[in-house]
Amino acid sequence: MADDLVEIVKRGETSLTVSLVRSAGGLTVSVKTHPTVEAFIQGLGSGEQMDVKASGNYWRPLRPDHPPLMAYVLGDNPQPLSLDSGDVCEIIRVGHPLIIDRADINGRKQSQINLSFLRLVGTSEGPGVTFNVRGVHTYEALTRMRELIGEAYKRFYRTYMKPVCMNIVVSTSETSV
Amino acid sequence: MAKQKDWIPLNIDKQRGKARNRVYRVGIELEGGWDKLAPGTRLVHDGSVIFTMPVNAIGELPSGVLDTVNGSPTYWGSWLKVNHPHHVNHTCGMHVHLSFKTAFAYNKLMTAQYPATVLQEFKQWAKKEGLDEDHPIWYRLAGKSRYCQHKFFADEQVLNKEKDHNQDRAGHRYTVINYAYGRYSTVECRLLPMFDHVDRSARAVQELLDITNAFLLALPDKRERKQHIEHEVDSELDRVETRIYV
Repeated sequence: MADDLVEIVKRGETSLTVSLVRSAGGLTVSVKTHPTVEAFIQGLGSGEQMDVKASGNYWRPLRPDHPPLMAYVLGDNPQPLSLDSGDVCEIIRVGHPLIIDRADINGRKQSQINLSFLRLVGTSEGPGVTFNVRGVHTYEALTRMRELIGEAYKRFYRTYMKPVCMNIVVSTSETSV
Repeated sequence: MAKQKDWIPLNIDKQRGKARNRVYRVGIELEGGWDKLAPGTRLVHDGSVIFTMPVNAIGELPSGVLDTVNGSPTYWGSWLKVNHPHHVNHTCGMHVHLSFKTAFAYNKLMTAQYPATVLQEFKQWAKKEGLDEDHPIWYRLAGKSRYCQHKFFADEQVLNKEKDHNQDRAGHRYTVINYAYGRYSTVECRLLPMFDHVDRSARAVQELLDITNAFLLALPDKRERKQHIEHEVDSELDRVETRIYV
């Protein structure tokens, strides 16, 4: 990729802001992304959108009379990303809990961190998107959720969105006869 | 995850009698023996209920969803009067399920302070009731019963969708308060034994409701801090060079 094709975004701008708070509706999640993030996610498919309810029933608009939550449809499902901790993150579970704890094949606890909220339509516009996730949590679990989502997003961003320039140089080696 | 170290009772003395009812619905499971069951009721098998004398019907009688409003046709007190077992002993428990209109009230009970407060308050209640030294409630209050262990597993328990009988695995349901959100959307108090008289059983259920309402009021009223995640754009170009020699 040539340097002039890399979109320069001023350093110091916010790529993602998420806030989590326990509420009457369960867990209220607010997501605001930089326009490049929403554009990137949209570009993973054809731009087609789907009602979140078609994929899972945990996410709900803040109020029943609010418009339905819409998410971008993915073209190919990206592989889950592994974190250094052994946990994995993915963006294929729209409408599902944000953290799912499972045991891996060795019986060790592994968390699946669901970053699918990045696929919501409108996260980069105005105040972003706010929605409820069904479920109850202790305060400590919420703090852990914040840490896991933060780590997972860092990995996701570095893997897919951080600009990288790869040069391949082919040289002839010196040979002595 | 939530910590057992927070197992410190909250002082709810000031809130007693002042708290409005925040409990939406109630469910009760009665264990014991019945000479005759009320029409339309059916027992569920419970292997932990044991009688040495012959009793017509032995097991567990679960209620449907009951109301907290006295006078309602499904008021829990009326159901209890009609269905209370005729025979009870130390093997019988009375489990009480509580549900709430909002997830927020449920969330607030997800602290080890809640079961700690329930224990503390029932110790005082049992003294006030004048229960004998050998009454099964003392055994439960002392943490000696494996059916109501003094442990706190809220985050694990809310994920349980099935009822299993493992009393040792992490997140099992045999605790003073079982957070049965995944299965019934309720908190289940497993501390109480069956009492030999319906009036005392009713007072025990009412005590649990009073403790819960006072606890919700006694919790610090400060607005919960939002958990905030922020990530900055990193547009610095990573350069990777691969050199191949031919």
